Amino acid sequence: MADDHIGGVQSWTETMSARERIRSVALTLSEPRSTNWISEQAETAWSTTNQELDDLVDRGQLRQVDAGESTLYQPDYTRLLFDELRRLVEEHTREELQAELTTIAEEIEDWQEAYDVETWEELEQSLADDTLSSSDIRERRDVVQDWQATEEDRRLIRHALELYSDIEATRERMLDAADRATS
Amino acid sequence: MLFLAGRDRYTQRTLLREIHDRLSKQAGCTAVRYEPSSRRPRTVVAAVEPTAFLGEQYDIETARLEVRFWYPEGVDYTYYRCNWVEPKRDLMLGFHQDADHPELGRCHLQLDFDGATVSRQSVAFLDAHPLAALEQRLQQLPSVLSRLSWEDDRPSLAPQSE
Repeated sequence: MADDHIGGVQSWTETMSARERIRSVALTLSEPRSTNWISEQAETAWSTTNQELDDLVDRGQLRQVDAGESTLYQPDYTRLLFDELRRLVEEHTREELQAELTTIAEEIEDWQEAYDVETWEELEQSLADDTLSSSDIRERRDVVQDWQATEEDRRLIRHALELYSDIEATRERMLDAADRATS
Repeated sequence: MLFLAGRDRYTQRTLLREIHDRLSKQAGCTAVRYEPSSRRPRTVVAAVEPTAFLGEQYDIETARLEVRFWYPEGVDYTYYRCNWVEPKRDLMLGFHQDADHPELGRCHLQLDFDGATVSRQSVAFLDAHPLAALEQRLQQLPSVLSRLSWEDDRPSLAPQSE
């Protein structure tokens, strides 16, 4: 279907530089990939791709994986986790994060009530029920995925709130120390 | 493929931000946002002015793009839904790569109207990075929309010509 493009929609080669496309692809890999593969996906020259991947490794954003004679690249997933936590803390207030946890709790309660189950695992088991229609199965499968993602989000937001407290406590200790030094 | 627990949720969040950036730079796309919220991004939604987006006159003044990618357990490729939504005509046309219709292959094109599915057609599976796959689906949207026709106020989708 690649040849049925009739124009209109801008291409990402028009809206993003080659290095931006390489970064976008490399930092969202879900498995280790080669320079060749990344350059093909990002529609960039091999030499530019190789150079940008090396820069990302130097900056600690990518990790190299030795695979026989070739080198593969993957994001530093630990760094992705900490970047997410930092983004949540820097871009949202404690109140916003707490309100999100309340919303999550309400969503899960709604699912528990609607499907008469306690966990998404129980809902997943219900997919084997022969009496469900195909549309019911699709709906329940969607809810299982949403429920799983929601629980992962809840875990991340809770971590961010714990980090929030640590950051605030550290700030207060610094202010106290400054007060004592000047009094 | 073996995934580490939780790893893909962080990859998914990073991916959704890249999609947010991509759509924010696209002519005709405005008010790009996350659903259900920026604190837990799952779907990227953009308001679309069709004529500016498609580069040609279009019947409807406002539409919406909804893009979601996720990594299901036990499947070695990414699932996604890339939907073109027209609230005024209650129409949705979307590329769906998920577990819903295996008889159509790994990816299908679905047309919904008035709360029900009108048609589903198999489309080629793209063995590509999610951003490269999205790029191809966005490029294909104008020609897919040009295959829509209306009779007695009901839409139908002509098969793809070879």
